[in-house]
Amino acid sequence: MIAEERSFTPQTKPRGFSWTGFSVRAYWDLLRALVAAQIKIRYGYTAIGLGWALLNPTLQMMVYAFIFGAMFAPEQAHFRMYLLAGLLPWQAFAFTVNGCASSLVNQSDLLKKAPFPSELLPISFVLNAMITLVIVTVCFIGVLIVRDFPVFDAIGWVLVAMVVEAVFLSGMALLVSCMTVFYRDIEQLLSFVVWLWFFVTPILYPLARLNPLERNVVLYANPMSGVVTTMQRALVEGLGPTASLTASACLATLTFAVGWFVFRRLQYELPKVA
Amino acid sequence: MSAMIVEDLWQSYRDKQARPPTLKLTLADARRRRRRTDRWALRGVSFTVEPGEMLSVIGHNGSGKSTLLRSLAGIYRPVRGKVTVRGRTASLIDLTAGFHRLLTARQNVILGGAIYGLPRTEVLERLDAVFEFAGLKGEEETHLRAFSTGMAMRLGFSIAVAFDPDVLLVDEVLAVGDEAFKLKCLDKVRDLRNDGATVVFVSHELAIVRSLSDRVIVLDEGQILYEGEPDAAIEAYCAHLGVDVETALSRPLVQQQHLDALDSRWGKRRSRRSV
Repeated sequence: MIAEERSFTPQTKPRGFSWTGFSVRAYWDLLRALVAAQIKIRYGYTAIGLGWALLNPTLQMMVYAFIFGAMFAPEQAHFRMYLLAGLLPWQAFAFTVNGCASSLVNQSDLLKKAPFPSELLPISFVLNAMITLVIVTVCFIGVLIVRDFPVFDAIGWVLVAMVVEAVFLSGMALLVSCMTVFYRDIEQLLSFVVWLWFFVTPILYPLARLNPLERNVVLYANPMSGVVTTMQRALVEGLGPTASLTASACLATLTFAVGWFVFRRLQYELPKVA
Repeated sequence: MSAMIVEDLWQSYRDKQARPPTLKLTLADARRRRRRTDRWALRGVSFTVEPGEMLSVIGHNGSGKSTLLRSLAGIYRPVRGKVTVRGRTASLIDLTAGFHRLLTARQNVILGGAIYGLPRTEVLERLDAVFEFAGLKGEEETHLRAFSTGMAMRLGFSIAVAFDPDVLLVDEVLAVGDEAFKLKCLDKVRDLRNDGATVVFVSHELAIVRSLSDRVIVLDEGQILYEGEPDAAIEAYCAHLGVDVETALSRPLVQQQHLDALDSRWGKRRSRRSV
């Protein structure tokens, strides 16, 4: 319900945040409602609720530590904590990329019901993942404090890493969700891509294991590497980030720009095609 | 100043079925840039609606009624032509779309209101009015999975009309719930119109169309077949379909066609009672 005159022609361009003429207030209220609904649906019906966000990476960490501990633990001090510090931002990435692919396809009825800024459907997945990440990281920091890690030496960089991840995930979510509407294959392909991506991100193995070429590719061509290494260094060792975070920030901005551009180009077609 | 102006509106859908089925053909066609096949749903529709007018759109299935309504709502951008709508627009198109069965009725109303572009404070203010109108007072904290389809649709209708729209776009949704609520919905639409709202109404229920509308547009294959007074328009529509006017008015046409189709398929006559 928009209280102004609206004209639509084949040339109508998206304006402001969106093409629907939502006020800024209504825009944020819709985002808030979508995120709240999603969190309620995701956790409201489980016995331990948000505990799953904590339990999942912890269980993963234990499995990886059991399998690869003998191989990597001697080279990497605090191997388990390192693993966990990397798995937390990874979980946000995997949840967003896998979840948002179908965010528009599954809501095709909603897209046809009323004109609303549809970019908020994928963006709500990102926000949901980031809110979970913040809560889980705070719990993890509590554990680190108890076990006497130098958490507070570089805690600001954890926030920076999270902002970079949020920008990157927003770009990915916009790109993936609207491309899936046109090419349903993307949804199927993604589970493999996410699985592969995990192994080109330095979560499981120490970087020293890689040869220089591999290390450069992993650190400077993969936006998730800067995020993961910054979280690991800042939380476990109390150190600042490496140049990898700068590369990540640049790639994240680029991804967001591409995602935003593509989404805006295809946005008008979504209700007809989805 | 008109409330709605539609100038030479064209709309089309991509036809996925027409795509070549094999990879080889897909590649070959991509080279020839012939991959897209469009199916035109609206071909050059033009009309205006004055403020406070109630316009009905009738036509057989697939004649472009819903496409027209979605174009007016701003959901579809025109492929050709221009659509202008003035005022706060409520689209009663798919009432329960976006509802989630794991959320409570109250949470669904807040989400539904937000999708219509209403600020949260306004939604919260009118929450009671919404449940009052839907006849679901006391069910605010019930999860939607415990609701019947009719209850959910009543809630959806109530959200859309509770916020004093200037323009109301109604797609077949007055077939909501039981007879009592259907009458209540029609009354509400009439009230909004008496208060100056403009209504565009798409329906197969010719009796309702005749009693409510000021003007009727008959669509056929995406073009305007007839535009004018309700009685004359219904006559033109029935003549076009080859149906008797009295029969069409006495019972829903869809049901009639449905029964006919069943009859011919099963090869026996069923006893038909008018509704």
